[in-house]
Amino acid sequence: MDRVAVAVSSPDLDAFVEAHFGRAAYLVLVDPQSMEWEAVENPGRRAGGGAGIQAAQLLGQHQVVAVVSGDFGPNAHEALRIAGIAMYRGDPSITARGALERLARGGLSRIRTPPAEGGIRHGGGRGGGHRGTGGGGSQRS
Amino acid sequence: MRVAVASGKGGTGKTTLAVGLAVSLASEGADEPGGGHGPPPLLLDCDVEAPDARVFLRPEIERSVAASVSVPEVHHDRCTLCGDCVEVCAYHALAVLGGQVRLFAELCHGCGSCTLVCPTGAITETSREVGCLELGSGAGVQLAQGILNIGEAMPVPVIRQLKDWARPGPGQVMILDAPPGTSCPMVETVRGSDFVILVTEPTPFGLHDLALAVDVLKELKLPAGIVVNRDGSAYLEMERFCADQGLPILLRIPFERAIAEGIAKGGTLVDVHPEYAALLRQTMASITEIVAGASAAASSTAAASRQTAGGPGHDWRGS
Repeated sequence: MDRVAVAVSSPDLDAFVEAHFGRAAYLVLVDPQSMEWEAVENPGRRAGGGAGIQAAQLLGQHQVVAVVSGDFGPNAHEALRIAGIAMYRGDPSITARGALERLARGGLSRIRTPPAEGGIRHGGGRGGGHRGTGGGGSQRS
Repeated sequence: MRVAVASGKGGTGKTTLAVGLAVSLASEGADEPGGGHGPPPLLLDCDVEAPDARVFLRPEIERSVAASVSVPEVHHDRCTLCGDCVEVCAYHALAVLGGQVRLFAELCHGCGSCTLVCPTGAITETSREVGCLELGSGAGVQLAQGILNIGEAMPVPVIRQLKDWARPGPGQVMILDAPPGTSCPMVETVRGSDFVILVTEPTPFGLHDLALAVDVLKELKLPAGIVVNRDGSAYLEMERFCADQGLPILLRIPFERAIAEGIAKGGTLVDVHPEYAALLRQTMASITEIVAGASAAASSTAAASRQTAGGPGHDWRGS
């Protein structure tokens, strides 16, 4: 059974699409034929780094063939590409249900090129040292 | 003696101070007949993501070696996809994807846990170059710097290798210029120092991040003193914090346009104000005293447990 995943803010088909795949709170896994769904917590949500990789691995274990999110980080993109999962961009102002309807109509754009190097990496990335003042990141580096 | 220069906040003047101290020590006795004495100071630029002490010292690089981390290599013919390596990796650098264990090399810290846990011996280690180490001399100072390649995310292995590679000779003073912040790169830099100078500025931002840095040094049990840069406005909260913590204020560098201009042109504190050389040497001398006092106190602690407020160097002022 091939399923489609949507990155969402709460464990519900009517939850809004999350802006960032790796940091999404939940992933809803949907059978597009029957619209049966289940929600799983995103293991990458609180990871210091490599969040998107963990989430991608989880989707690979659940026979997911396509995923919708507002955006995908460089590691997530690479991991999903290797896992053979198609990435689609979904507007965070719509719900998972709405995103699936658009996807079925061919109304979502597929992401094929990885984000530019040096792009924002949420939580992971630059060693955790904060230049200038501000949020004291405390992740291990 | 090993003295690290750190801060919580970025841009407080760590490199300005570290370079200033180094050139002041280098010029010691230079105007006396016969020139200076002792080995030149060794400055380690541990801010490997943006090493800029070279801007001021203009060193001639004499030696250079690669810096690398060891990363796992998965031999798929022996891999059973058990996932033990993925499970043990604290940095999520490994994942089972598309029916294979894949490595995300940029996330790997080279800890070797995956190699250890693999039940079938399917993982061996290989080395990946992430930067380089350089040693040279400029302005009478020996400079060793680590340079992390652009796009690499892990400064710590480069800092560790730099400290191991560029060791001070007998009687040579070593000054370590730390990266900003209070996370692993800063910790790796200050670890093993005899004393840490925390450079701060008299602002709420400066104080906020100074307090974080002080907490880290307490955890590491390292003695520390304060240098206030861009001093002028009386920021009483900061003065009170230093007094409460028993942190000696070693030196105050005024907030002055001439200094900013001189440094923007690639000059040192001593280039702008030659009289600072003596002042900076005096700062180093008082650190030497504090360190000597601390080791003397440590050896007598067992005999008489004496309470000192945050170290024996309290109440000292450099200017």
